[in-house]
Amino acid sequence: MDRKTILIITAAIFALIGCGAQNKKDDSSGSKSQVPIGVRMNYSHEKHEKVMKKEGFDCYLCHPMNVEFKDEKSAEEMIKASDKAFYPGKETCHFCHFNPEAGNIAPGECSLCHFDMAAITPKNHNFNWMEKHAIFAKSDQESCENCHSPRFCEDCHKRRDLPTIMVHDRNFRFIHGIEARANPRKCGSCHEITFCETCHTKGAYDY
Amino acid sequence: MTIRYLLIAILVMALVPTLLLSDESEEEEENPHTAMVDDDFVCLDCHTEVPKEGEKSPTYFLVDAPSENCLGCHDDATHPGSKKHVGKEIKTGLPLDENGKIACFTCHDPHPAGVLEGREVYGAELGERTAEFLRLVTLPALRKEIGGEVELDSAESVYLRKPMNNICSTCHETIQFKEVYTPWYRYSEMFTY
Repeated sequence: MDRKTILIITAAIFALIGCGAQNKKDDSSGSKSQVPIGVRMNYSHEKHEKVMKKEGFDCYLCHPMNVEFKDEKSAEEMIKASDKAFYPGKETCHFCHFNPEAGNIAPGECSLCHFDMAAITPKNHNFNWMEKHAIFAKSDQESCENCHSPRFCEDCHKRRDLPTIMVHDRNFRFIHGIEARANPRKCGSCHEITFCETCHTKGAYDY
Repeated sequence: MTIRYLLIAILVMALVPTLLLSDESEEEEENPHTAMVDDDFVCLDCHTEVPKEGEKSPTYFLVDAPSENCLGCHDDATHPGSKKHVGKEIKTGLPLDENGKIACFTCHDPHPAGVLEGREVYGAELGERTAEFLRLVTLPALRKEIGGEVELDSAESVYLRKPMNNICSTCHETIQFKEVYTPWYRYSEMFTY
């Protein structure tokens, strides 16, 4: 057997071993190769048990078994309704994890449970959304706040250290007077009058 | 003339018992679970014979198949979670049907306290905090999603084999915590898949 043949056989053996290892679901370290994608699959009872007990809650908070449907329903509808009642809806999870009114008392990152962010992203957040989002934000600010905190807006709109220009040109400080005189309303759509006064009432431009 | 009055009187007398009987049939039937405390014959609503002391049968001497026996009066579709449990094969200290599968009576005891000697049963009232959360958060969401009236069942005359707070953990894995206490709000950092 010549050297070339030995090399080919060795390479083939390694390739076969490699393929076999790839098909294994769990490796020796015990880590899972399959990443869960559903929200329910991400829920960890272990991570919730202690806080639930501390708050005086039990299993039935998420899995109520004594819910009564007063209205007449077909058997199929009733099974569906029972199933809905037995598993928590988003309101149950969001009460702690996403509560814009009362504030979150648990981690609020959407991606914590929603691996597929596209599934919960509004349909209008598509192509060119960066440019057109202002119209929606001004007309219905509450709608933005359903998912985003005010800090999310400020992070772009008030930052000046970004390499990309988010709102005004980087030299806007020097030329803003022209636009402000031409159309003062335009400034007012984002800034309050105090924003201008902070600099302008001092009698000089204190750079 | 007299004959006519006589006929009317006979007709009225014949109708009165019929009307009374129809009223009786419309009356709500007595709950056999509560009735069995005082009336031994109620046992035969569900059992073919009353088991003697210490006598056991894989079918519990039931008239129908274990869970079917309950479904004559109760609708399992209205009980959230029942479809997820009944019929599952499991190893537990709680009673199972003749095939070792979960039946209604695995969690529920049809006999109230006082019927079987030494048998203890527990109520199904929710904890105060849980009930409050369900009323404020879960029920309004369910009403919106399912439509119609959705309320919490008063759970009166529901008898459980174990107390509410640990009947689930009889079968469901009991979670072991590490000795070191980690504040719950930091769980996101520990989130591993």
